[in-house]
Amino acid sequence: MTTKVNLDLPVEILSLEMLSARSLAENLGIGICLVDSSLRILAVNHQMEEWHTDIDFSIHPFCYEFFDEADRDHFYLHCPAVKTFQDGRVHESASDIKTSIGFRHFRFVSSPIFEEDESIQNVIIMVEDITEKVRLQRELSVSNQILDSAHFGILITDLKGCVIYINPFLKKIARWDNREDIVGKPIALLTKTPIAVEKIIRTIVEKGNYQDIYTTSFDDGSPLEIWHDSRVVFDIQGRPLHLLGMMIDITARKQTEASLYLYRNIVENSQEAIFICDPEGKIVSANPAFLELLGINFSDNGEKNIWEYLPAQTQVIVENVVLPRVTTGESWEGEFILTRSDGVVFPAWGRAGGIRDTSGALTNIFVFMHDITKQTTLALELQRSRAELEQRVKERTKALQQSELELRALLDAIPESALMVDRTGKILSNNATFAQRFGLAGEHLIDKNIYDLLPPDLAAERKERLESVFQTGNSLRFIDKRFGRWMDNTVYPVLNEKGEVMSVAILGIDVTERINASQALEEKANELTRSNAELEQFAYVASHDLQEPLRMVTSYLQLIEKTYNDLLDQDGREYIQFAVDGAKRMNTLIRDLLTFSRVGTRGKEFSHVEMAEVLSRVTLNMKILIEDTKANIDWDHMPRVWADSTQMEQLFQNLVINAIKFHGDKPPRIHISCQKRKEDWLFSVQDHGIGIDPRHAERIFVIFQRLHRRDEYPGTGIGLAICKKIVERHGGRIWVDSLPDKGSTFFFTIPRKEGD
Amino acid sequence: MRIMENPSLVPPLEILLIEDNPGDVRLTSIALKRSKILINLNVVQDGIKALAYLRNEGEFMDAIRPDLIFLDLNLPGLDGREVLAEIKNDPALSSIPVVVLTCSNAEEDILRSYALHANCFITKPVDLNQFIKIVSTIEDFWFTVVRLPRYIE
Repeated sequence: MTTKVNLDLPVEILSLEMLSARSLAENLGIGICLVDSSLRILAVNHQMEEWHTDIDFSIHPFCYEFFDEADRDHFYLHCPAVKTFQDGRVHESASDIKTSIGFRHFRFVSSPIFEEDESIQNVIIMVEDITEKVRLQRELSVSNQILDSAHFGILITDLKGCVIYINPFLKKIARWDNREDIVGKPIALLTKTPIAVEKIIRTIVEKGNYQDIYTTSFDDGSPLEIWHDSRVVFDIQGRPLHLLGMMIDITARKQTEASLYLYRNIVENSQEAIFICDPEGKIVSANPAFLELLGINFSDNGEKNIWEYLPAQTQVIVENVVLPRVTTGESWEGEFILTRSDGVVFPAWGRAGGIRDTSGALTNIFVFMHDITKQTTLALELQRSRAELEQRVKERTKALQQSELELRALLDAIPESALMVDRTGKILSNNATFAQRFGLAGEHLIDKNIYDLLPPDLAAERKERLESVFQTGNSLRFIDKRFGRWMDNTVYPVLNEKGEVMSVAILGIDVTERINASQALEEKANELTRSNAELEQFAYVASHDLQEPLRMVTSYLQLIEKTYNDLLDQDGREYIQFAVDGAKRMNTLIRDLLTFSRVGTRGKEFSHVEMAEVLSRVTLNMKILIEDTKANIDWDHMPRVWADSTQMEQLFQNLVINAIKFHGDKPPRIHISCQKRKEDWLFSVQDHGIGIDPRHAERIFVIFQRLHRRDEYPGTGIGLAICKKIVERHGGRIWVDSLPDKGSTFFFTIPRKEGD
Repeated sequence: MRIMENPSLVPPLEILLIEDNPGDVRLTSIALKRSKILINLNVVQDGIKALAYLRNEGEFMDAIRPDLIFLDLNLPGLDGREVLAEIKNDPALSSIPVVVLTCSNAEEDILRSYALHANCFITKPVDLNQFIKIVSTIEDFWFTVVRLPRYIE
């Protein structure tokens, strides 16, 4: 190749050094040009020809031909060869040159070739392709920028731990910003807690890298939590070269993590159901209480949406109330309904709020909620009870008011004056009658003092009486006359729950009429007693004073008859006989009258009387009469009655005598029976005798009334009158049921006493 | 008045009749006349005299203590019941049997008489024969059937 020849030609003119340089250049890939003072390229080496295969270096092109017309001014200004021709020194420059393989970045170094006369005829230019180098440099620059701007600490040390590089961030966190003496110093001396470099290397050798979190503090700084990742940088031969350490301050993160952990725990263990969802409802997080509350589990890890778990009515609330509030940045709290997975519907109370990012955009919604069934039930129960109570109180109050009105009306209507006063005499309550009696009708007397309303002497007397009731607690009754009227007063103590007399109630009844009546009655009774006594006297007179002369008449008539029998003729004897008979009958009449009068006045106290015993006694008393007349007397079961036993005996005896007396042809058959009635006992004495004409049924009970001639049926006509009087004295009635020749049945009643 | 009947050696039985009605006194006397026993019938007309007689007071200083007393309840002045009470309350007199003879058949008179320790109560009958019969029965009872205190002493 000509270029070779051309380059080879000046060999003799090239110094030995040049030749060695050329050789070196060839090996290093450096292009060499020999340029004359006209910048004509005299010779090039092989490298140059490789770069510019399209250029024929045999025609010795000028240097500037490698540049575009536009760049030629720049070329002349910066061309190192030009400068070398001018000052004979080495110059260099760099330019992008178009080559056969595209633009490359070349470095040009021009060196003078001195002639023997020290002139410069030619310059040699060494051309170096620095495209890669520049690129690397640029890359390195970027790396450095990264290291310098990294938000974590980077520390490069040699194997002994001496600092080679420390990035600004580490400087900052270690507060070494202003220290320029870091590089070259052992890192161990720079920290309060020495970084154990040897341990780090050993660990790296064993495990490949070293990772640790530790607390240290640089200089006077506060303790920092450091995450340290170290590895060894090896050279091409695999020998350890440096230690590269990345140190991240995780103090803040640690604190955050700790807080997060705490919060997480709280959330996880909270009884409150908590969940977080995005604005669309997708559940981001939910705690166990939430799952429990709804009776669900999220075991399938699929996407869950809160809307799925809300009943329709709650969805309405959420959509219309909750979301608008939360979206506008407010929180919401209130009640709503939830449905558990088993279908149970229950009330819940919840609170919702938004979670926003730093720009303020709503990212999530948190909700706290819990079951308030118990509270609601309690509240409802409470409400219901209260309503019920109120209703009852209302009803009771109404009833009481009504009752009070009724009582008031009743109290006002009674003719008794009613008054209630306390111990001082203050009127607590009074009725209309009381006010009327004091001539204060219609006036409000409550709280007035009763003693002020009375004349002083009466007030003192009343005060003493009321005080005694307050002291003894016993009610008091007294009747006295005031203002011309008789009053029956009763003072009742009104006790409190402890049994103390708190007030007294005074009831006053105007008993003037009653007292007058009772006085009149008393007079009548006295009169009656007097007349009874007179009757007694009459009875006694009848018994003694009437009978004795009668007996004298009889006895001495008989004595005449006896003594002077011979002197009397038949008429005389008959006259005496009539006189004696009349006197005897009169005696009988007197006795009967006496007996009759004594039924009312000489009766005994009533007692329990066994009527069967009475009948036994009667038949015993009348044994002779019964035997003589062949009478048959029987009776049914007889009760016990409340009566005068003697009179019962007399009653039955008279009835039986009556029945025997009027027996007719056949021997008397008498049946006595008794019937228990509602109010009384009905006794009957039945015979089969001659009977009585119903016309005379009343008459036979009148004293001394007789239906038959004395010679037919003897007697005074007192027996049945006495029966009537006895029965009437006992509160009963007597009558006869009879027809002539059909027998008679005498009925009488004796009122039943309770228990008989 | 003292009626001496059939005096003999055997001391007569002494009867004191306290009765204000002379008719009755006479009838009693007639009834006792028929007696087989020797009877001294002494009669006083009222209660005061009766007690004076029994206690040998005043005009009755020498009166003999009677073996039997016939007492009418209806007396002027001191009533028969009071006389009976006096006799029966006096230890010296209470042992003398008292027969109450009266017109009354009133139950309270009977009861009261017995309550005052009368020894028997007799209602005087209207019929003369019956009266005589009763008196002789009394006489018979007290002087032949019953033994009297005087004979025991």
